[in-house]
Amino acid sequence: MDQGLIPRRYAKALYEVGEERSDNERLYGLMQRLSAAFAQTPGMSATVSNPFVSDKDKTSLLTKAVYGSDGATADPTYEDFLRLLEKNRRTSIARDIANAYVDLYRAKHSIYRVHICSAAPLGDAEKKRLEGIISRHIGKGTMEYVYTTDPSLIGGFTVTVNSERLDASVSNELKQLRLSLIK
Amino acid sequence: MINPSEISQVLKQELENINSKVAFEEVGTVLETGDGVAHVYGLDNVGANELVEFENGVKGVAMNLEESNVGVVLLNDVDKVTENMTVRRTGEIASIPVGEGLLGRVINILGEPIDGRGPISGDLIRLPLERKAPGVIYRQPVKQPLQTGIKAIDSMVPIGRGQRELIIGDRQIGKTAIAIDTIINQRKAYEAGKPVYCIYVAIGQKASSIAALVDTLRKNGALDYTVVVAATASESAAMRYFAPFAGVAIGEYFRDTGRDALIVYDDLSKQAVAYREVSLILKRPSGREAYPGDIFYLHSRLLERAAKIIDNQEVASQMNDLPEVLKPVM
Repeated sequence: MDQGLIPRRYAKALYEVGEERSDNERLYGLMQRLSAAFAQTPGMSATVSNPFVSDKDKTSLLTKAVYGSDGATADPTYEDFLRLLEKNRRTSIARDIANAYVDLYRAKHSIYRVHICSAAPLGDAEKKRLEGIISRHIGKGTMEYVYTTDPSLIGGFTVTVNSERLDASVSNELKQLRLSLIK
Repeated sequence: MINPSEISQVLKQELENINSKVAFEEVGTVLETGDGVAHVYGLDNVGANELVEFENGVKGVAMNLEESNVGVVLLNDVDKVTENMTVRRTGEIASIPVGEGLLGRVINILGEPIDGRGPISGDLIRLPLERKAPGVIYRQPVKQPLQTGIKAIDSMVPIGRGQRELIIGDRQIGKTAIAIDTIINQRKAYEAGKPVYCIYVAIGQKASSIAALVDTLRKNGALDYTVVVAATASESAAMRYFAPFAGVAIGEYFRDTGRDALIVYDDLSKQAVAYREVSLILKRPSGREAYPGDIFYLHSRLLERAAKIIDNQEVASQMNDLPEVLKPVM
């Protein structure tokens, strides 16, 4: 989903600082964890945007969400980032910034997130074959594969890479058939 | 009567075709829709004015390319597009099928007949709605008159071929009547074998007025060389906005096949109103009386497409950048 102008600016600044401190690889992992934490804990978004929760508590929440409770492997750039958010009162858009950063990092490093949705779980051989076809189509770059199942496809699979999609599902074929019969 | 074997034959053919069609295509998702405009997330590489297709076959034109979404103006079945629908790029621009079969017919902007006289016959080629106007070197100076058949006009303010002429005046003083008389008066030229094909574009008029007008044309034998493009008041703003472009595409068909044509836009202020409506829904900034800033460019690029092309075939054939298959035989 698109994050808007402000999160993108923060993400760009964070990426540039990460570049200077050669810290981007770690930051990428942290931002993915932050984004995943928001996705897994539904209450987190509400807490972070709640005006009654102090900025300090929000910051500590965002720290713990990424490091776990011990906070042992602290990353100085991430700490600075949280401090900046706290100072500018932008803690509430941390999730959008994390998503924007992940998108930016992927774009800069030609990492493609490939979402494969199939009607039934795929076997290893099938996965390997699909991955071969997809990497041939995209060419250079690194792929991150995400597998999901959706019985409403009836059969076959869909592959989504950024805004491109290959729809080889039975439900799509039926849809096309219906459209051509209407015409 | 439907023959069951025919259906399974069709099904079989369709299934065979579908299997070969699977390929990567660029898609987006409808975020919100309303008032004939859909905002779409995705479609990263869509071009301005590109035709897009929704999963239920509804067509639209990408008008606004923004950082976060694409504003798509819907062309038909406005109410059938819902949130979360998938949209795909077609790689084409909006176009209309044109050909000799259009003469004597009343069509909408998609080239579909709306006069209840069956499908349009004959060879049809698709010409784009938006196309570059011919440059200076392809034009002849205005030197040949178009006879309107109205003495006052032909003697005092003659109209030349390749020219645009504004008919302006208060309501109910006969602006449409002048246009209709001119069309009817081209009958003599048609009978003499030097036809001036006429295209009448009705924008935002009452359907009953259009029916009356078509009846008048038919009674006077003017429909033999006339095409009526209609976008009635009840049609969506997008349809009314695109109507003159559909008309001019038909005009260009006659122009590019070396024939003369007269096109009447009745009226462009209603198109301007439709464009204002579309622009405001697309959240474009408005200017005076809420008309968008490019309203003059809209009309000038439309009217600039009127041209009398030079006789030199070799130069004239280089005029447009259409693909070879679309180029009419000069």
